[in-house]
Amino acid sequence: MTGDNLPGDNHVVRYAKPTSVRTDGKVGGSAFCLRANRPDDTSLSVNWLECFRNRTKDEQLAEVRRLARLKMREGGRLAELNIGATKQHVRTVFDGLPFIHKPLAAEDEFEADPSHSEITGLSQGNSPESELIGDMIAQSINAVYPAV
Amino acid sequence: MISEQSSSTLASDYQLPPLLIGYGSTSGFDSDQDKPPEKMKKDLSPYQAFRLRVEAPRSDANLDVFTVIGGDEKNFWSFFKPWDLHFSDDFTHPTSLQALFMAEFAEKQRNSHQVWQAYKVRIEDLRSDAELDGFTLNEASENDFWSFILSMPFACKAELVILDNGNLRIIWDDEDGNHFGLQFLGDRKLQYVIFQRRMGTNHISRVAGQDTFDGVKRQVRAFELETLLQV
Repeated sequence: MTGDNLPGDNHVVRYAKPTSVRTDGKVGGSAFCLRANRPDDTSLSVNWLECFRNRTKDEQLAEVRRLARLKMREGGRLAELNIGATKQHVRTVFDGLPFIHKPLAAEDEFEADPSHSEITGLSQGNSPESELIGDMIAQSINAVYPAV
Repeated sequence: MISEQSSSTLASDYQLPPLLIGYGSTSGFDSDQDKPPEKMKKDLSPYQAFRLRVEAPRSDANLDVFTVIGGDEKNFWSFFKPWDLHFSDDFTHPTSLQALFMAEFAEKQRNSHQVWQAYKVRIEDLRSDAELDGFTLNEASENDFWSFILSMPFACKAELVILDNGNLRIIWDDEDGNHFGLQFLGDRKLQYVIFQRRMGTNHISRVAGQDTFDGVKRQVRAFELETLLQV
C-alpha cells in the first residue's frame, strides 16, 4: 500500500547509470546520492522486487525493466539491496533510511508500476555526509544485474 | 651518490638513518619489534646491496620488496627492526648499484604510465557516457584529478566514476571494507570519504569532509591508508 515501509527481509533494485558503474562491475556510491544539480530531489527511486509475487528473480527483474520510465542504457546496472541488511549497515552513522512503497499510476504511455518505491531521509545535495551514506549503501549491495 | 627515491606517499616523509639509502615502501612501520634472527644478520655487511622481502610483524598483507644500500650495521637494524626480513630468491650483489636502483625506478615509472593511460581511456569513456545522459565532464574537476594523481606517482589504479554534477570521483577500496573516495570539486578542493578498519578488529572508522590536496594527504597518513593506495 502507498506509503508503507517495505519489509526488512525484502529486496529492491536501483538503476545505476553507466557513469556510476565501476570498471570492476560494482556500482559506486554516487548511485545512492541525491542529485546535486536537482535540489527538488528528496528521495531515491527504487523498485521493490517482491511486489511481483510468485515470480522468479529473472521475471521480477524483467518486470522492472519493462515498466521503467527512464531510459535504461547498456552499461547501466540494477543494484540489488536487501532492505534490512542495508538499514543495519548504515545504522552506525545514520539511523532511519526508510524504504517507502510509492507505486506509480498509469500515465500517458506508461503502464502503472506497482513496484516503485523510494529511499527517503537522505542528506541533500553534494555534501560529504551524502557521499558517505551513499558509499555505505553501495557496500551493502548484494547483487548487480545488467540494466538492459 | 645515489639519491633516495621514494615509492609511496609515505616514503617521501620517512627520514632514513644516516649512511643508509632505501628504496621501497615504508608502510606499517612499528618500533616495538625485536631484531631479526641472528642467522640473517651474519649475511649482512656494510655497504652491500640487498634485495629483501620485508614482512610487517602483524600483518600478512604488508609484504614488500626493498632494495637497500647498506650503511653501518647498527643503522641497518635500527631502520628495519620492526620487520621480519627474508632474502628473496633474487638476492644479489649487483655490480652496479645505481643500475639496480634505476631499473627498479624505471619499472615503477612504467607501471605508473600504464595506470595513467588507463585513467585517460576511462575518462574518455565516462565523457561519452555523460554526454549520452545529458551532462558534461567538469574541466576544473578533471584538471584537479590529474594534478592529484601526478602528485602520487606510485599510487595503484583506482576506480573512477563521474557524478551528475560533472565532477570526477576516484575510489580505492578493498575486501576488508577499507575505502577512500575523493570527489574533485575544482579549485584544488577535494571531498573525501574514508572508511578504515582498525587492524585486527571489526571496528571501522568513518569520516567525510572537504579539504585541500595537502589536507587530504594528511588524512591518508592519519588513517594509515598508504597500503590501500600503494601498488
